[in-house]
Amino acid sequence: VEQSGGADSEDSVSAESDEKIVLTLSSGLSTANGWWEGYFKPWMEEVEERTDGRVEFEYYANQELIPINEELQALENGAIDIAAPLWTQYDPQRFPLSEVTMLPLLESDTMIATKAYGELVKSDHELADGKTFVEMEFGDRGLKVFATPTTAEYVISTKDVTLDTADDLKKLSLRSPTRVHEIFANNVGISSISMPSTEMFDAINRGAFHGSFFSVADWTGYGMQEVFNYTFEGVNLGHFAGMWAMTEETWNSIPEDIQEIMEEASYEQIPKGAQVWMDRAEVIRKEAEANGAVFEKMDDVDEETQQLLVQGIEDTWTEWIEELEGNGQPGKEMAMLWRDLVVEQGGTVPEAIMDLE
Amino acid sequence: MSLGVFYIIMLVLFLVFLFAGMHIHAVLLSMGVLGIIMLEGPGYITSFMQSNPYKVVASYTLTTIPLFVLMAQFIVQSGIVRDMYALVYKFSKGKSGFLGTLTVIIGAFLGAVSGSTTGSSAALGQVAVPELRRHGFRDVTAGSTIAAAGSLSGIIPPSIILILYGVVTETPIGSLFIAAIVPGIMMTIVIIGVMLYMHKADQRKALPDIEEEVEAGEIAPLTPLRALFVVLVGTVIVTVIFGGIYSGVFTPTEAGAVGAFLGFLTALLLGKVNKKFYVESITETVKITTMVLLIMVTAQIFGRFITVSKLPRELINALGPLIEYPVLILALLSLIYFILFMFIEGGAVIIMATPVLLPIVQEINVDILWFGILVSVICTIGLLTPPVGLSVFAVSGVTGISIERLFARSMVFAVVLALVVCSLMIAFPALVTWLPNLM
Amino acid sequence: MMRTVDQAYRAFHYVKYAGLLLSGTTIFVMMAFIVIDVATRNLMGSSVFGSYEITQYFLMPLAFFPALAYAYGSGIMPKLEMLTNRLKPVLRRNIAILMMGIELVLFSLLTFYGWQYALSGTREQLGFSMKGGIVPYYPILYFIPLGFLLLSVEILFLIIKSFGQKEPALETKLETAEVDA
Ligand code: NA
Ligand code: NA
Repeated sequence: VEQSGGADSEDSVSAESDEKIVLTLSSGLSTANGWWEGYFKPWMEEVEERTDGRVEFEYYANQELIPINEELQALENGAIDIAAPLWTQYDPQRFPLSEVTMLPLLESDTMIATKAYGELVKSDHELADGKTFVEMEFGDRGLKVFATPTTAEYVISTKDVTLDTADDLKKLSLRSPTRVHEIFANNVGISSISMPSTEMFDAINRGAFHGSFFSVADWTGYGMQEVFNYTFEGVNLGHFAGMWAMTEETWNSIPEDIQEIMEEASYEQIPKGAQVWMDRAEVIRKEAEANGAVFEKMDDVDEETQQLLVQGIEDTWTEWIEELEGNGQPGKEMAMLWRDLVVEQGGTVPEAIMDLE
Repeated sequence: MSLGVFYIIMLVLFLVFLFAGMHIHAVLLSMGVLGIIMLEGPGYITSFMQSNPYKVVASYTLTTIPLFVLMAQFIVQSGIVRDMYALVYKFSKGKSGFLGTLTVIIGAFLGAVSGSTTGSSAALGQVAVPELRRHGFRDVTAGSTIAAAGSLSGIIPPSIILILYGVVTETPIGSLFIAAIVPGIMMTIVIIGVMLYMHKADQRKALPDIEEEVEAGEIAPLTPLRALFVVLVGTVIVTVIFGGIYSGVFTPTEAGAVGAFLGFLTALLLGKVNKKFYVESITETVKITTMVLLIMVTAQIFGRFITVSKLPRELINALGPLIEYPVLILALLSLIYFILFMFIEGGAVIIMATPVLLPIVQEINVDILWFGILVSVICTIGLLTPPVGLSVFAVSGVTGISIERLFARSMVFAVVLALVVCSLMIAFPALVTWLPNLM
Repeated sequence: MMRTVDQAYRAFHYVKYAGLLLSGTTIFVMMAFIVIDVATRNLMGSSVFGSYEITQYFLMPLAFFPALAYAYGSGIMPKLEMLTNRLKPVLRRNIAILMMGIELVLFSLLTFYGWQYALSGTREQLGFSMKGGIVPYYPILYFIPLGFLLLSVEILFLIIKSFGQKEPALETKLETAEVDA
């Protein structure tokens, strides 16, 4: 069979500089997703161009090859070369520290969070045992990772239910896509609903529950632009992030000049990818507003609710830190490092979080 | 060996295994494993073999398969369906064609509450095949009609297929749902037409021993009180399920559980629940569920082989030069989908082929929404075609009618549906687009 | 020899039957579980048990893997017989043995890989998040190799039985009631 497969042979990536390197990249994202269009796709094109065709990507999207959350095993047993992305935040058991970007903030945006995330991945700040975030989380697993852009901020979006008083908060039932959202919901009295994302459209549309923690830029990925008509943006419920990942073994088999191109292209593409999310959010938002959807900020709810929400943010940080520390992880160091990076880029957090040390 | 020869050998091997009587799941699994090993080396199958079985089965959406079957079991075992059909038969003054029509319409309504085609086909098969036979239908005609009627769940919203297409292409799911209504009704009408024609043709021939085959079983005389009860139970179940879904009390997936629970309550009310009732109900449910899921698991591994073979992509590349003839391209795309849906389970085809085909569709300026409906119609038809036709397997599983006898008839439904509905959709795109445009 | 096999097969039937009861009861529990979830969501506005995750990660796999061998033995798995039915019984038997032999290899492979998957899941303590905590689901992964192993054993029995007769043994002739009684 004449098939220049990706990760087929023992030595999947040839190191000879004049030979073409074929890398198999697998993604659980749809090809219309902002992460794919704004980061992974242009990154591949950039690398292919800058290496003059010495590198070629054989890519599969839509979980066509590897289902979500199986990427790590697929990397390890050589079925793929690159996970695009590795869903660290769906896997808090294996990647406990990565959850940090889901911690709630007061204000930030995709660009702030993306730059902070990029810095976090490059950071040489030692969290514990002389190890950085990346070394602790990925080094022990023999993984080479790059940052991806983060998603836009998660906010509270509902259909036909508005948030004005603290009482409204207690009556609210929302789908919680990640564990940190469940913690936050619990802290402010929101009931959290568990349901697959594919069921959400129908369920919210028909009023089975009120809404979801969701990022506006991703509404179109699930048809939610037809559903949500109220969004509360007063609290930023974190930024979803993942990792571009490869095994160190495969990474080390790539010539250094190509490694450099890959890394450079990645860091150049990250802010552009963030911009794609921001542009999308803008378009979706305009369209939603034209259809009568309402977007509200912190000032639009009463004093009591504001206090409750801020308290909820603080409690979520505290609970997260305590839980990680309880599992022997440097939860506090991690949280403080993320806080500092976000604030450095222009984001804000409640005072009590600023006072953490 | 060139790739072309490789594909031909694989196809031949597929057919040899199939006709040598290997189980469908084993055909899919062996071709998948062999194909991946040939293309990518033995180490490559590790990932798929380890995680695919669990990943496929561990799905909330698939709960509709066991739960709709369980509902059907409870309802059938409580004897209520038999009475219901007897009642309708009486009212239609003994016209069996009317019963067939009613069954297809029940299938369409089942489609409006269920997103799962196999669940619907199995449920309807258990409930309706014995009754249709009792009232003069040939088993294969009844069985294939029900396979087709059950498949309607794939196109009549809500539908998993439409949701998948919407997610993959970022097409608004609500618009897809609305756009699918007219084609869904068209398919229902075509199925009724083909069923009536087949039934007529059957009646002209002498029926071979059918009377003996149907168990004589004692049918209790239908007293007015009993008839009232039957109507009441039927009304309650239908009202609760439709009302529950459309008022948002539960989702279409959860409707499976609620329906099964109502069936259980009915049986409880009728005093039918005992150990035998329980064991028989769960045994049938488990058999069908396991059969369908095992085929889905192995179809997934077979699908991975098709993915790494890049066959769909190559077919698309071959289409490139024809870009100036949009109608021809459209016909060829439909054909490619038709063939893929023959061999591979629907959801997998949408995921693997649609992203690849989409650029071409856009290039010839075809509406993505319209195309999604076309693909979903073909997908629904694919449930009726050999060698992998999940609706047919489901009906065969619950009725014991052999799959080749069913396929011989379900193919007729498939071909007529494809010719009539797809041609109408291509000739009059407004059939699909006018409803969503009204909104 | 054949008597021992028959006895062993009869004993194995109880194991399969236990698997059937486990899977079937799981489906019944699943029904109740989802109904309770719908009720609590509508009455209290909250999924009390995280029913979606539990259904997905625990109940669906339990509804499938344990019953594999029983379902296979019941003869429900579809196949085409139009050509083989025209052959002489002995030839038909030999072809069936060959086909089942291939199946045995495939399901033994799935048993092996399922075992590996369960072990690696245990190593990683795989879990899902529910109500802010993490619920481990890796123990359920052991039902994958178990289910495929029972299925392989069933196929092995059918192959051995086929060798002992002039026609293929394609399904279990024992009736449920026989075991039940
Ligand atoms: Na449907
Ligand atoms: Na088919």
